[in-house]
Amino acid sequence: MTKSDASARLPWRWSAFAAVCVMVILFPFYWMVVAAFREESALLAYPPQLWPTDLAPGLFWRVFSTTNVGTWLRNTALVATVATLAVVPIAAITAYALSRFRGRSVSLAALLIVVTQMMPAVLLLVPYFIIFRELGLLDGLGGLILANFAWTLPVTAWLMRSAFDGVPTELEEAAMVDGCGRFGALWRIAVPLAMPGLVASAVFAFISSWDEYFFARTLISDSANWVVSVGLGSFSGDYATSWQKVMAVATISTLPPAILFLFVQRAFVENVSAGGVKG
Amino acid sequence: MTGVLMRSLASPQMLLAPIMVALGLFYFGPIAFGMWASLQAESAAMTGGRFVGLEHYESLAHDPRFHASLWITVVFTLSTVLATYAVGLATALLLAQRFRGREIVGSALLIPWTMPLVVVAVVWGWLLDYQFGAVNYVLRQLGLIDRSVGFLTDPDLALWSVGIAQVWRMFPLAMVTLLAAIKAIPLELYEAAAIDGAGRWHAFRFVTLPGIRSTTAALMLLIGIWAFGRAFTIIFVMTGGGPAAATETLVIQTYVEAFRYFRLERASALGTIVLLLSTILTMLYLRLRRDQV
Repeated sequence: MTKSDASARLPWRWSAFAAVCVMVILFPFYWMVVAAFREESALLAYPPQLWPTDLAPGLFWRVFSTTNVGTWLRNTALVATVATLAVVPIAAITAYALSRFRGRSVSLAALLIVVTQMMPAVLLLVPYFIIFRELGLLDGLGGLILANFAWTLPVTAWLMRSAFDGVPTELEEAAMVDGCGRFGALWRIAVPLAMPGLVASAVFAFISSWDEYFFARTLISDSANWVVSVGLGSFSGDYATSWQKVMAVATISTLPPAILFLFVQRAFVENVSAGGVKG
Repeated sequence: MTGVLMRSLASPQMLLAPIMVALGLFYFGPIAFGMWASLQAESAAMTGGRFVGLEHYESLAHDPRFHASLWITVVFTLSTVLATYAVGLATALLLAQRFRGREIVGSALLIPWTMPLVVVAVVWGWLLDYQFGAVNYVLRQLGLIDRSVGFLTDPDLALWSVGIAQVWRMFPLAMVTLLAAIKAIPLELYEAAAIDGAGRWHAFRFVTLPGIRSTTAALMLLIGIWAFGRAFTIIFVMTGGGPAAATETLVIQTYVEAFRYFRLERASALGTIVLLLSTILTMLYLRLRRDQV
């Protein structure tokens, strides 16, 4: 039996049902993207057109000149990139130690890493605010990079641990017998084999920093240093801004994380379902 | 010589040193400071402090606004956990079926999870808008309501509205986790159940549900811990805690105390309470996970 025979036998009724579910669940996403391409007057018309035909790509690109979204994107990309680059090496060696060693110091570190992932950010915000003010880090991207570094480090380390857990230790032991040191084994064997999971974890760190609003909104007030989440949030409740603009900026700020996610989806899903809940 | 150095560098303590320093600097140090600040007189934490003991905690214990917020947080947490789990389980069961286009459906349903929280908040804020919201329009077309509903302006509804946005954003996490658990159930169990004459419902009730029980417990606690102590952005952007403090969870109230009223000491006391309650939930979670191993 060929593959196409097998799939020809799959029932259609589940497909139809699934399609309806997807359409209902993804309606908000669809509505956002569509609104980004339509005239404001069309968005305010009643009744709303659920299947509009008046899409205008020019409107979408115009937000780059009518809002500061370009600056926001640059700031966001800078913060998320630097924070991720700082997180990855520390998270990776932590994850390697958690995966390969046993003992009291390892259990303690694992416990603290899990506990910090449960901590309410609001508890950290007040001390961060005070300390950053004393250090002159308030209102600058440097302070925001530090906050994102701190916030994504434990969860990235935890996700990377399950990436290393998936690499059999025998390979490293064999390499060490052959005269590779521990670092040689880590660098030449464990890291390459764990790479899909490590990349997925790094992408997760980047997406988290990209997404971050809570710290960004509080630690930065100078609008020249806003990141895209804060810029977008500033539209909320501001009735002078058109819905079209808001939805265009919303769509633009969704694109980078969504595209990155697409690339690492499989490893990411495996990682989260293995490490995130069951550990 | 280098060998000895390399070996000591490769000890777990050395490998774990950087993260321990980072956790101390960015988590445990600030938390200790926050706890200390919660015991200081108003606006004294910045200037060396003046010890007032548990005064802020006592004042909170008698504050009706705090009581209301505690209740709102409990309702929000429980309802979003149950709804996230229910939607996650339903979609996971759907994806556990074999059908055409399953891969695409699986990927498509992950989309909400990839969207930034602020985006989710503004999009849902628009969908639920009193005047221009698509939800009001659709409900009216279906004849379920005869005049527009103020989903975000009616104090009785606002908490449910922000809850829907939260669930929409979080359910894919439950979906992928539960799908992995469902796929890990041995097929023989279903075959055995079929031989015993079990229909679809019985197979679900007596094979699937027991098979995902440990995942369910851990997942619910995890979602609960996050909804309790970390849900901020969606609520804050959609309603700012309003209308009439109807969506003011403990986290939002802490934020408002600190950055609207600038009562940092009282906010620290609130934050400490949130931490203590989170810690209880976290300990339950850790215990559960240890039992599973």
